Amino acid sequence: MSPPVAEPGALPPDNYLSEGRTLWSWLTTRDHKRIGVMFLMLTLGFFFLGGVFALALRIELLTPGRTIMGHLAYNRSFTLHGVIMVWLFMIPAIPSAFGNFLVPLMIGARDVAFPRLNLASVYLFLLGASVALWGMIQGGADTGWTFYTPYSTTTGTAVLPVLLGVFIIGFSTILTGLNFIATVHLLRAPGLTWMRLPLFVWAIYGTSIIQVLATPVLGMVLLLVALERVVGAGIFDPARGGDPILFQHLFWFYSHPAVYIMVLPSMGVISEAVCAFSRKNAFSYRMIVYSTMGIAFVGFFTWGHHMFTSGESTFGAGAFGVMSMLVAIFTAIKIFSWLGTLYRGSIALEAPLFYVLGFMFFLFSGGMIGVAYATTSLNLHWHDTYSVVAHFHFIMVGATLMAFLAGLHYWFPKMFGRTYPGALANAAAVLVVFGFIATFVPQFLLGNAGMPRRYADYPPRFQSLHVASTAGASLLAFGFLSIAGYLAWSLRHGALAGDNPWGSLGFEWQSQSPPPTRNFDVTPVHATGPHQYAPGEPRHAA
Amino acid sequence: MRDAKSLGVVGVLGVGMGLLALTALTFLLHRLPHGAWSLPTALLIASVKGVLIATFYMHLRERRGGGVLILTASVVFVAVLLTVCILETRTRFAPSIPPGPFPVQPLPGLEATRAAPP
Amino acid sequence: MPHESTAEHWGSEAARAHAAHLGMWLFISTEVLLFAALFTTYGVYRSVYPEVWREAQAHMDVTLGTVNTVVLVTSSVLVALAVHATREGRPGTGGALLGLAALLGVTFLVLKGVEYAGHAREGGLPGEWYRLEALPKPGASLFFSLYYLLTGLHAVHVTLGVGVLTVLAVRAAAGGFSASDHTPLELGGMYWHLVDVIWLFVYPILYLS
Repeated sequence: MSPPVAEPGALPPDNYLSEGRTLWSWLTTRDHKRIGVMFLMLTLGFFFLGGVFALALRIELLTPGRTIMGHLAYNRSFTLHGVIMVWLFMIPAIPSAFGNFLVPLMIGARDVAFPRLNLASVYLFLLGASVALWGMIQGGADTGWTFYTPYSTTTGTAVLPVLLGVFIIGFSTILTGLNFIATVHLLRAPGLTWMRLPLFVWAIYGTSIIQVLATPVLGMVLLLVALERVVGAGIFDPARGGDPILFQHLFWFYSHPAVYIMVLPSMGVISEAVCAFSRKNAFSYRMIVYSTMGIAFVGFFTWGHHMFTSGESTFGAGAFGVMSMLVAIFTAIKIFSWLGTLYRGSIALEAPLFYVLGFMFFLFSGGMIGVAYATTSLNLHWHDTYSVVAHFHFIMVGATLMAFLAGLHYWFPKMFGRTYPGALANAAAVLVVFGFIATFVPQFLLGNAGMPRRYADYPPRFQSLHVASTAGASLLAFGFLSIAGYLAWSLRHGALAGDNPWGSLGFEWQSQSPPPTRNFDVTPVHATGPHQYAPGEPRHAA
Repeated sequence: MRDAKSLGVVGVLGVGMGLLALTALTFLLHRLPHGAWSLPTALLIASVKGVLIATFYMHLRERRGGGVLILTASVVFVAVLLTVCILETRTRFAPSIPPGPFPVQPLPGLEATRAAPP
Repeated sequence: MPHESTAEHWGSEAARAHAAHLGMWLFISTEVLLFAALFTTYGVYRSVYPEVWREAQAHMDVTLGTVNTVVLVTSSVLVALAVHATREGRPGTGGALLGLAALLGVTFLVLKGVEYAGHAREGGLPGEWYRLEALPKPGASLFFSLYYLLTGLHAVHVTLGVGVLTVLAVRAAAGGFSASDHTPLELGGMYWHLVDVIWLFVYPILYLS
């Protein structure tokens, strides 16, 4: 059963993909579009690897007692699942892949500010990932992706290479962030004032600030753990007067804003897609911009809500709890803006919009539950249970993943000049959204009933919910595989998209699809912001 | 191309003299009896020196805008990290850092990660 | 460096210099935050062990520390003079001044090594190796760990800075810079000033008060 092959091979001849077809031409490129595509492929590969570990975990939890692996293997698996998904997929996925590809196109630039640094960030990412994966071959760490001391300084597993790998990847994200800040400041096209910038660019800009300012602290604290392991520096060792909670402070000073490194770009993707698929300008553009910067700023004052049960002071816990709730206000502003954009828009129910709706569901429900978790008294009940696991899989993973898939489907024609089978994509989108819900709703219930996280075993009364969760995960895996299948097929055999298959007025669609290496023959001049659809314009073109 | 704002030799040397004078000042203050104000004073002098260097030697005076913004942002976030961590540590209900109410025991498993020191 | 494409990329040489400065400031902010983690560790433990901290500070070599401060500040002034000389169209003088500044950087490292040797003799070593008989209290080894971490990380930066200054000095002597084209010199100078500023904060908290 081979689907009909529509007009094979007639992309515009002068596109960035045809600039050189050798591997060498890709490895030495400074073209932001090729670097973006490389990041896309790398992060997708790591997403697959992290997904394999996730499935292994779910299979182990299918029955009480040992199913396929022992406790140590389970600990190593969830650590690798976490490390790969957080540092090799979610943090670089949207900024490094879509950001690299789109930010220069959106602001009318020929490339990012420092193209050679950009290429260096690919290689640093590869180096860091290789070191971390080498640690995995060495047996892998069993600390969880958080590397909490004193366990991480005393366990006998291969923590060191994983720490080092994450440290190196940190430099890769710093370079990417540095590049974007300079690009947005200096390379905007004539007429493109700050308040005309596409919302995706604003989101990437806010993200980059967090990346540049927070990542060095993570690098330092990982270095301290490594030094403690190698030479016994003793900074976090209670026997020498050290304080393990200080590690948590320094770790979450980065890693909580890291949640916004994942979610802010996602929100940017959603802002773009909502405008394009409801054919309306963003409802209250300015409020979305201010709330983006607000989240980027307030996000730095909330890290202590990961430490409510650590022995943190009650004063600190209260303050951190209140600040965490503030984030909900900014997030709500965004959700209302998107709803306002959708309201009475000319809706085109394409695959990206399915993911947008999924994103809004996960962000809303995960966020509302998050406000409850920020309440210290309630948090004591849920802390370190499956509820928390489900919560962050909803708001951090669910939201990021939905936005990533929305972006992938929205910009796939831009990146590769071809479209994918629409009906299939819609079906897969529905499958993924419901698979996700089916996986994690049972986990909320499990946690509330008292199932702690990071355990390979559980009493038999929890089994039915675990089976439900694993069933959901299988659905999810099937959804992802089908997406991979039809996108891979569409790369070669998809119908030609033309320059702007969605009829979008986003700035990135003003160039040819796929864009030529120079992006624009004539530098665009902007008199208005993006997505200025005329009222009553005909419905969606496709 | 930016001569109007560029510092002359006299200016460069003047700032240098100022820096050395402040170094002497902070050293002399250290010779006085130590009080609660000793650290804030020393940090204030260090900050003045830092501002002098950033403004005149690191070209902030000639190129306003980006640099000032970035430097301010990073100083703010350093302050946040430092203040919040110290504040939280100082307001703990019961001391969680030794010497606390519990005996300190060496961590198990250290021998697995590295050789013991001489 | 492909000049024809960068000229088009940036529009003008001035815009390119501006971008380079902005990028350098972003890099400097990451360095500041890198040290911030150590300063925070210092601040927290100092607030927990104020007395132990004061006693441990008495074991610091204030003379060497102060001399090193003067050495670094002087080298910073020399770098600023070198940039000035190059802007005035005397890159040869600039190169010589940079060489002098690099020499002062080496002096700093040598003095630092002497200081480390002194502590090692005394037993003031970090973490598990801490053997200072005079001060056997919990927390004191933390002071020394932080002393080595702060000064050690700073020394790494000094070493890199000496390398940068040396390369710049050689390039200046070979006529690589002119009154209109000296952005690398300015950026290298900024890095050296950053190293100086960090030391200006490390010096009082470790040696003085």
